[in-house]
Amino acid sequence: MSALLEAQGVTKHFGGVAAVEDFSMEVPSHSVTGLIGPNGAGKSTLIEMISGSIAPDSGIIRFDGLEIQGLPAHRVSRYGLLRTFQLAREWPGLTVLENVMVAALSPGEVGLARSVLRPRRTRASSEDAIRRGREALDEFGLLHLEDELAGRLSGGQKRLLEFARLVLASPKLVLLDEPFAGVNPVMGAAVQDAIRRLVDRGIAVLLVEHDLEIIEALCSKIVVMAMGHQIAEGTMSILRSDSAVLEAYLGA
Amino acid sequence: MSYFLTICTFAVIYAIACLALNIRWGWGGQFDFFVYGLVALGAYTDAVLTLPPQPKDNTGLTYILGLRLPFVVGAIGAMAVTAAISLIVGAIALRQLRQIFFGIMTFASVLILAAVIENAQFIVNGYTGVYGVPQPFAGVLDLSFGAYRWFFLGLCVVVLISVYAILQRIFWSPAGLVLRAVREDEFAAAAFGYNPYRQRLKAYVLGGAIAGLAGSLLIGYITAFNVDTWSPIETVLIFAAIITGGSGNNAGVILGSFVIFGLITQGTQFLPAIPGLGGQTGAVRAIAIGLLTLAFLRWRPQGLLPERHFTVFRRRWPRSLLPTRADNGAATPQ
Repeated sequence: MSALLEAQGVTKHFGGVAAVEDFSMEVPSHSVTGLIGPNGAGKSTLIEMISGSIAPDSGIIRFDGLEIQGLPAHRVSRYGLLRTFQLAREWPGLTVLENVMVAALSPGEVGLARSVLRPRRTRASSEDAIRRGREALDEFGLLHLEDELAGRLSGGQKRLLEFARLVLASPKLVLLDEPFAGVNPVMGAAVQDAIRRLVDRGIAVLLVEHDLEIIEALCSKIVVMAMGHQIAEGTMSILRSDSAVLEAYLGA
Repeated sequence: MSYFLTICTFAVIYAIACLALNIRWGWGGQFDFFVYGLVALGAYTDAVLTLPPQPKDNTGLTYILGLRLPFVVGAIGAMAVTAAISLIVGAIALRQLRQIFFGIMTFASVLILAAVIENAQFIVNGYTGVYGVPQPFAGVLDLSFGAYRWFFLGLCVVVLISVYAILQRIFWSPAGLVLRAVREDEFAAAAFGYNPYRQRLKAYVLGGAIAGLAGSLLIGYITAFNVDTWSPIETVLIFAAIITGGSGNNAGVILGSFVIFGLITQGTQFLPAIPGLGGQTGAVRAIAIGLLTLAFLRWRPQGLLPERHFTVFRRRWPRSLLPTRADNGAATPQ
């Protein structure tokens, strides 16, 4: 079976520094793949390249059979590859309900002419977005906050709001960039739960995370990155005895 | 009474210009100074479309076109031209620039527009400007001078209400909501498949068209227009109205424009002269508007009528959308 996401020889230099160098990996569908590595390994740059925020210097990124390297973020997203950011990026001045509505709507529904000339269809779009949005809020335990401005939520609540938005956009793969950063342990359990719920819906996950216990608990496959290269991949038990991994992490 | 009519007419036209900037600034978060240049451009366009051909004798009045078209065509032409110019300026400025840098570019655009109009005599008679522009429907209606003024105010009010109705539809639509999401965080909006550049450009062009409409009403009322009538400072007044009334809220912006224009710029004319400072009412007015804007920014940044939000409780959605009894306890009705 071919991989859902495939990177081949991806390279990105910033000035003279190679942030990512000849990097290759495969992300299978229907499971959580972990991406770990010490600080400065190039994980964030890789995420930015896959999600379309920056273009790689060379290499191929194939998602669901399509080459997506160098495409802008909104195009990548429309193919069903969504991402979250290290810091939660809610729309702070919109309410929680409006946040999920935007995720539930699609680019075809937001024409200006349509909203003036086709009031019935426009209204139907809004109603549908409200209905689906509230279902998602209910699922992630945020329904009681629906009229609150999203900027006023706690760090953990903002993470849950991100997950509610993700499921509404029905992606095939989501890139989670350190979703546990700034989340307290109690909320951390809720975030783990939310990740499992994504997989239950058939959504594949690429998880960037520093906490190896969380990685071990969630991931069936783990890719280790250091100095811009892939240095190992496999399950946690295999990686524990891999000398290259130990060296990268412990400098031993 | 006549003076009161004048204030009301100006205030209504000004409110339309404020609604135009509200699309850009209130909904889109674009720190735009070009809007008043577009009001002027709309006025000039309307003038050259509705004026008769340039006189052959040596009156010194020169302008292009002179097509003697009716007001409606002039207004549509004005909107088309201002929308097209907005598309060009927006396509360049919205690509990379944000906030104050975007503001500088749009400010520069007004100065360029003013310099071109002032120096290229043949377009709209240079610095002196055009005059004698036909008033809307005046030839068809044949009203007395007093009655026509009432008619013109009514025309402006009808246009304001129509613009308001269209903009309200957009505000309460997915299009308006996504535009506000782009304002709040464009990267997150892109992550959900919306092209931030395209969304911003749409708002910029729509705002431009409405500014052009305000311009065509303005010249229809004052019938003469020159470079002195418009300057980048006018845009600051429009910002003051939006901040006072409520950024993003159409009704608030109309209220704000009446407060700023009706009460302060015109109301202060009735103040008794300050001893020793005769003829300084203009300065007093500017200070009053500045202080009011600062006070709002400090103590009530959301304005008199804050931006509104989608909610199942406040909008009249069908019953099926309303919370069932089961989750009614959890939800907080307002």
